[in-house]
Order: sequence, then structure tokens, then C-alpha cells
Amino acid sequence: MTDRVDKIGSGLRIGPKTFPWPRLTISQSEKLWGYLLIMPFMAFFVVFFLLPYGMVIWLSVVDWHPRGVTEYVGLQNYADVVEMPSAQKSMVNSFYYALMVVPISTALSLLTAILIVSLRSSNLRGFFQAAFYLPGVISGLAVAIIWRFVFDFHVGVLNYALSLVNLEPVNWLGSIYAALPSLAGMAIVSSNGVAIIIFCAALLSIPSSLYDAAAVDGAAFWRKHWSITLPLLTPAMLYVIVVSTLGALQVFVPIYVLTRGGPVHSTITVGYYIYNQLIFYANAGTAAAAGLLLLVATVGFTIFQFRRFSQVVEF
Amino acid sequence: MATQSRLNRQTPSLLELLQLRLLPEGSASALRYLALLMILVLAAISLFPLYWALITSFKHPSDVATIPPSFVLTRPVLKNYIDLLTGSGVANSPVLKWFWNSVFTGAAFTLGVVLVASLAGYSFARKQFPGRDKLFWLIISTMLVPAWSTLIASYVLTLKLGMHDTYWALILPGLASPFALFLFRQFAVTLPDELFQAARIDGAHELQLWWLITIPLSRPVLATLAIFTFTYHWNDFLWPLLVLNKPQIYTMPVGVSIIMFQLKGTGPAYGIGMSAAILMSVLPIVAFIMMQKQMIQGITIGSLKG
Repeated sequence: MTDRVDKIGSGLRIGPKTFPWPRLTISQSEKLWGYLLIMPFMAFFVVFFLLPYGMVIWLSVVDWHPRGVTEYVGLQNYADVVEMPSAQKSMVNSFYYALMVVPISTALSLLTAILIVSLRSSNLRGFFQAAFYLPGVISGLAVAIIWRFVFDFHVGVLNYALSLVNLEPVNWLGSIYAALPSLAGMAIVSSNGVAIIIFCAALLSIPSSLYDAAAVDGAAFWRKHWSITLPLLTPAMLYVIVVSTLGALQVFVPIYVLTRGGPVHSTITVGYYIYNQLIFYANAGTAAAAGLLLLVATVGFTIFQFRRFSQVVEF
Repeated sequence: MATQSRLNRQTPSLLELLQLRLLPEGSASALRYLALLMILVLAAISLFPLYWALITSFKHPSDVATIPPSFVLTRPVLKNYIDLLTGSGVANSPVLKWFWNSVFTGAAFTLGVVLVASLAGYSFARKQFPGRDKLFWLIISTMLVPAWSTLIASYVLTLKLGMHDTYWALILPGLASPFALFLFRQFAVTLPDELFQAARIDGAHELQLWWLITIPLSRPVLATLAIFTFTYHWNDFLWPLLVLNKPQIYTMPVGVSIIMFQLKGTGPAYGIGMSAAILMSVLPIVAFIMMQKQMIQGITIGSLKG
């Protein structure tokens, strides 16, 4: 097939006569230009995306120093990560944090989306979609700075609200019991926009004939939603859960701004642990090993979630 | 585009049905008011922090941390913003320089991303070469890998290349953006082939096909891409935090995070903090208002084809 095209193509020469280099057939020039045009992108991609994949594996098996001697240490870095109490704590915390954030924020987003979609006016629906999405466009740093004020023990709005109903103030970020749930609460309130928009679109794409058929069969309200809405929302739900799990397991900015892992490691997450190892202890090897373990864990979670969902419903 | 127009056409009839299918019949109107009330409460909770930051940023520092807090703005002043931008109260804080660093590197980064991605996106969409599709999906699949796993290697790599504490560290590492490539390629595929054939017959060079046909036709998608890219760079905090150590080269987010640790006393600290948060949020919010439709489309495209 290609031969034939080339034979036909060989009669047709392209390029003006002034071209200094040998003329090419159409398919040759097509290939050449195809490669030439992606060259700038590929150069940066190979150096700054692909090369780090190789480097991170190398880093995870060496004792790396910015200026000193780099020596091969085998799996020592991985052993360090597994044995170090702060690393263990960070994994437990990340898992616990994701376990708090993902189910609650998914349920809350779904509820909000159902409420939005049930509105009569499409302008109003657009307005509320934008209103819920808006806090999500500002940077995580700005959000965290704002919440630092909201959480403040003495002058924060939350403790003021508690004082109105005669409750003791809570040391939201300073107590080892409250700090991680506080951070989770902040994430739940401030990062639902994307999920809400996805659920709205998914709800609107369910054909209404299904509901009509169910109504003819005499299905009640809950039965309709249990048997039609939920199964048909599964792809959207899976997407939301996978993406928010990935985000929750990698959380860093709120930790850095609000608690710095404290008090007493009660909010140290894998992301903050890696940052700490890299910047404060100059332990790139341990950080790389932890990063790879996080990668394995997140890929594992994603596969688990896909499997779990494919048991519940067929796509 | 197609999805949007299809949704719009269906909307009136769907809406009528939705009222019946999402709420039980009979008590519909009472429930609808309850639903509206619940939405208002949820929206108020979600928007409150932003509102609180906005009014706090315009309060006088002495009014910032009061008990009970005042939820309405009585006498707006710009003191917090002036204090922030002149770096007063905090030693050696060249805030205007940080602002400029963010704007300058953001502009250079955006220009680079759009240029490189539009060249490659055009090629992936319209050229035939061996390995094209495999290569494309390889690039796209890297978007799924958590950033933390390669961040350490990128840090070590840029350190070895001597890029730390330079603008290059903020511009080069993210230049080959898989997201930008994907967006541009998906658009370039939809352009009619006749245009390119006609231009070729007229003797157009490959670069001319890109510059004179693809680029002018893709202005809307390029604008979207540019705004996305600039906002991403503007909001980025973790990477600049890792690679920048000299105050002169900080971007706005890094500088602000450092200020927040240095400030003492709740009043000025929160006043300046809130004005910094608002200042950093203006650009993303304006971008969102301008690009609302495209952003919401962009989110749903990825999710609904499961």
C-alpha cells in the first residue's frame, strides 16, 4: 500500500526550485515536516517530563548530595521510608484525610448538583454553577491564607460562631485531634466546584424517557433515583472520586500554610513529608522513594476504585 | 461546542421534566422552595470565605481582628493594600518586584507553551508520520501521573542545570504542556482539509500552513489556552517554592507565603494576608468570568465520555 502511494507520489515533486536541499516525495516531506514540527515540544517533553521518570528511579536507590559523593545504597531509601515514624504517620494521615474528604465532598457535590438541576430557571442554574465553581478558581495558597483567619483561635469567625451558642472555643489548627479534621473540613467546603459541574452535566444528560417509563411502571421517588439516577451517574461518580482521591492523597499547600505538619506530626501528609525530606534534610533519595511509593499507592487506589465500580454496574 | 449546542436545544423540554423527576409529585412547590433555600445556604457557605477576605482586606488594620467581628464594611480604606505593596511592616519585602516576576514569567511561559503546543498540535492533527498516535497517547498519559512522583527528579535536574533562582526554572520545565497539546490538537483536527489542500496548491510552505491558516483559525482556542496557562502559572505555588530561594526572584505566591510567616500580631497580619489573597485572586476570577463557558465545557469533556 505504502509502496503504491510512494510510486504515485514519486512523480509529484514539491517545493519551489530555490530549495537548496534535495527534493522529497510528498510522503517523505509529510513525515519530515511531521517530525520537525513536533521537535520543539518533544525536546522539552523528553528533558523535563521523561528524563525525570528515569531520574526518580535512580535517585531512589542512591544517597544523593548536591555537592558531595553520590553512592548506590540499594533499597535503603525505601527501607528508611517504611521504617521512619514520621513517614508512617504521614501515610496514615494522608489516607485518613482522603477518607474524610472524598466521601463527604462527593456526597455534598452530588446533593448540590441535584438541587441545582431541579431549579426551574436556566439562568439561575448557571448562576449557582458559577457561584459554586468560583471559590475553586483562586489559588490554594489564597484559600489557605483566608482559612487561617477563619480558623484563628482568638479572632476567627468559627470560634465566634461557637461563642454565640455558648460553646467552648476549639483550637482548630493547634490541637492534635482537631487539626487534620479541620483541614479536611476546609477542603470539603472549598473545593466542590468541579465535581458539582460534572454532576450537573451528567444529571442533565440522563434521558427523561427512562423516568417516564419508570413512572408508568409505578416506581416511587426513591426507587426511581436508586434504580435510574445512581447507576447512570456511575461514570461521572467514578471520575469525581478518582480525581478527588488523587488530589487528597497529594495535599500539600494547606498543610504548608496552616500547620506545617504539626502539632506533633498530627497533620504531616505524604506531600509534606516529601517536601521536608527534600528541602530541610536534603534527602532527595528518601523523597524520591516516598514519591514512588505514593505513585504506586495512587495507581493501586485508582485500579481498586475502577474494579469496585465495575462490580456495581456495567459501563 | 457540539455538546453545548445539543444541551441548549434540549434544555427547555428537559427542564419541564426535571421538575417532576427530581422531586416527588404533589408537594412539588413546597419542596422546590426548600431546595432553593438549601442551595442558598450551601452557596453562602461556599462563598463566605471569599466575601470575608474581600471585606477584611478593605478594613483598617485596627478593625481587622475584632470581637465580635463586623460582617459589613463600614469605612473602606486601602491601607492593607498599600502596606502590602510597599512591604511596610515586613523587612526586605519587594512585593512589587514579586508581582512583576509573576507577570513576566507568566507571560513568557504562556507564549512558549502556546507556540510549542500549537506547532506540535498542528503536526499531530494534520501530518502523517510513523508512531504519531502512539507518541500522542504517551504524552497525554503523563497527565495522569501524580506530580509528586517526578517532582523530586525535576528539582534535582533543574538544580544540576543551574536553573534554580533564575527565571528559567519558572519557564522551561512546564513548557511542553500535555494539556495544551491535547486542547490544540483536538481543535486542529476539526479544521476542513480543503483549506490546507487549496493553500498547498497555491504553493504554501508547511510553516505557512501553520502560521497563515491554522493559527488565525484557532484564535478562540488559543485565547482559551493562553488564559488557562497564565492562570495556572499565576496560581502555581509548590514548584516556585521549591526552586526559588532568593527574595528578589520570588513569585507573588511564594513571597506572600513568606510574609505570612514573618508578620506578628493578628490585626496587621490578617489585614495584609487578606489583601494578598484578594490581589492574587483577582486575575483568576476575571479569567473565570471571561471564560466561564469554555472552562465549564473543558471540565465536562473529560468526564462524560467514560
